[in-house]
Amino acid sequence: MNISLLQENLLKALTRTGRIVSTRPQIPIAGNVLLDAKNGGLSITSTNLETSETVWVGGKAEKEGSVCVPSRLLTELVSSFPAETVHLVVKDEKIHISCSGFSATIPGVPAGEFPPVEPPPKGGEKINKETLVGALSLVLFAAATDEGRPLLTGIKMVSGDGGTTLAATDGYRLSTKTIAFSLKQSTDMVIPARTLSEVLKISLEEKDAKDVVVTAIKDGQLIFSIGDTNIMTRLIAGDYPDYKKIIPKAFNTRALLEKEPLARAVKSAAIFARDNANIVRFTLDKQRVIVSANTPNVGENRIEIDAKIDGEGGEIAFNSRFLLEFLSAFPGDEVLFEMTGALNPGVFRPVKDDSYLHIIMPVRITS
Amino acid sequence: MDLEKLWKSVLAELELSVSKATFQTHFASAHLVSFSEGVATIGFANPLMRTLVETRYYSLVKSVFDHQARGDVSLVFVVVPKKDSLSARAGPLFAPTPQPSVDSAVLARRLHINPSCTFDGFAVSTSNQMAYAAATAVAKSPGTAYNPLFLYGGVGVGKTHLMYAVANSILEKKPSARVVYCMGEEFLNEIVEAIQTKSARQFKQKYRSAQLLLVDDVQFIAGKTTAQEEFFHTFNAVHREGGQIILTSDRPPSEISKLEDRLRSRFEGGLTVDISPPDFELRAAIVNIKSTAMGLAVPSDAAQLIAANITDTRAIEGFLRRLTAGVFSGVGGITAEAVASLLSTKAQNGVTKKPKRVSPQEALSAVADYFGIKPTAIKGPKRNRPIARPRQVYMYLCKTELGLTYNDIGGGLGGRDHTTIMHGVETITKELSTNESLRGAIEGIKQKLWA
Repeated sequence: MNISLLQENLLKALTRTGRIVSTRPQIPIAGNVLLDAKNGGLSITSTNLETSETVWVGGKAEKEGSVCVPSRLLTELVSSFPAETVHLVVKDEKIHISCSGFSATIPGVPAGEFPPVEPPPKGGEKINKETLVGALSLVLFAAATDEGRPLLTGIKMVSGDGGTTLAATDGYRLSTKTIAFSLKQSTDMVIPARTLSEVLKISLEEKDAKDVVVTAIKDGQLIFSIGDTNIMTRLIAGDYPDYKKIIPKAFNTRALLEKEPLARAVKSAAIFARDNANIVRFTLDKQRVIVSANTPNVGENRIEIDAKIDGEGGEIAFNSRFLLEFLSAFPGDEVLFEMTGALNPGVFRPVKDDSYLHIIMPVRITS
Repeated sequence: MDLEKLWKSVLAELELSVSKATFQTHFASAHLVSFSEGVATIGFANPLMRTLVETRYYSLVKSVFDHQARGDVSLVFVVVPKKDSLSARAGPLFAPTPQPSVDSAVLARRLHINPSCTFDGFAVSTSNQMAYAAATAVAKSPGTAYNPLFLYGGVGVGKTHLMYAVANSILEKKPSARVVYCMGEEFLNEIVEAIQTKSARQFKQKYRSAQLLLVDDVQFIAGKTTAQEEFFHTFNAVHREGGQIILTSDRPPSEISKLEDRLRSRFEGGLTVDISPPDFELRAAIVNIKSTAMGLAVPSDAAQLIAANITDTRAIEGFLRRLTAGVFSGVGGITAEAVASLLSTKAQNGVTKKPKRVSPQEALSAVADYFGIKPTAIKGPKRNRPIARPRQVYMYLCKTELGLTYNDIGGGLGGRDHTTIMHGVETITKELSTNESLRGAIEGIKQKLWA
């Protein structure tokens, strides 16, 4: 292998592939990236055995070839180089790296050791990038992060005649978003949320790409292609909980709130909720919502915000962390909040838009 | 040869030929799907892992199979996704919200009966089976099955729960039923008040017209002449009209001192059942029921840890409440580790309160006595198992029962480091949920200590 490429391009690609590399890989080879020089450029691949990522970097290849190199080591090294041309040469299982006066030698690992990664076959389906980015940022934060319940660490994606619905829940809250786009093949699958947040990050970075191409491959795996990057992931198997069942069909109090004042109120109340299990109370009565929190021996606060209220009013308490995460993802200026008593889940949704829904389980409080 | 046996021996041989880490990551999660006519199908949960093993270890796995199955075996590697099913662990959002019919619940509250105490929420085991059967029979046919029903037992065994459950079940069927509930002491106070305000008529009216009379802790009226007399007449009036009477006490009628004989004979006239303290299995069931009611997902290993370390049912409830607080403040899901660490601090937070102070020396000699070794051996440097195990038991008791700090326990044990003590306490806490004889040992020592 003998290839020359620009430092900025190489560093960008290594930083991207490095994001999914585990600091403590299950098997040693997973701490490496696979460098594969072909005519016209270099493909860099990393894996965490669940998800693999391949980035293509354009360059001038004198001689094709491939090798594995420790990911973090190479990334750190390249980031210390000036913005000049980098030469990568493999000789006797060793990789020599040089860039305007800097040079280094790293022992490589044969490319055959790396878990095989396939290029996406033809026949993938295009999804508009902006649409996907919008939907992902509304649901991703609600997925569980603890590995104890693997299914909930995924995003449920159902595509049929009526469009495509994405849903995420961690058992305490639920986010669902439906987009008008539907895949040609009807699908029903659970995709790891970590993979999708990577898809989201790359979509935001790749400003020129218009679409995300999704291709299903063998063994229940999926490839997302955005510009010069391919992300291959396995799907999560199992019966995703029936989230439609828990969406409240009716409500007895509804409040129309402006998002900014609400977000400010919750942020302020969260200060006094911090040491009291993050509990923030909403009291709904006559055209206003009172957001309050208290911690014995620390203090208490109370914020009044204007609202349009229909129904009998009431009191309900939520974990402030859930509220803040939802409010920071919510795009509109006005939020509709619906509740039925202090024990039933509270529903948040945009005005005149049925495609998005966020549900939070209240915290039981004794008044 | 059956699949499982064949796969086990294949794994055993593979384990010898590759490093431990390789074996764990590559083969531990695989399984043998089928084996017929010289073709072995091996399933993997992870597609990448399948390809890795296929490309890298094909010949190794094949030679092991050839050897084990005594023949030429071809291998097929497939992906069998590991299914995750989590109906119960999906979280509170998916837990059914109990919606008690509003009327009977409101009614029950007005009568000072806790509407959440029902037969459904009562865990049954050998220690309370008899009482449960009697109570359900009474709820089915009040006034005829067992009248009166006299329940007795120690603290937190579920006497009052059963009594409430009978009342709730009757109220649900017939909301107009006249149910009267009082504590033995309240009965006493009401008489005194009735006499003072000259309203004895209302008092009599209230109690004597009851169709279901529940008296909790009836032993408190013993020794009070007027109260006993009034209760005697109330009892007779209710009984004569076919009303059901349920009484609870901390001891059987024959052992309530200063109880009038005519009352004693009436108390014993129905069915007298005792409820013994819950055993380990029952406590584990209680943990499950209570945690579900609180919307808390407690995995079974954590539930067993709690059941093994807390004997009082009320203390279990208190402990679960503290867990809830922990969960919402962002500690994450409930794990056995989280439970274990909370358990080791519970003594300082006053979950267990004992009537008597026990010094570490007494505890030391009790432990040494129980295991038949010298107290000095526990303090000594030897680390063989017959000595080390009692030493850990002693650390556990010092921490959980006496509420000593790790440092103090270490100091008392010849200057051992506090991390050693933490390890010892943790070892015992964990083992309690699986080791029956260890539970027996700890119970035995505790009884000796508090006797």
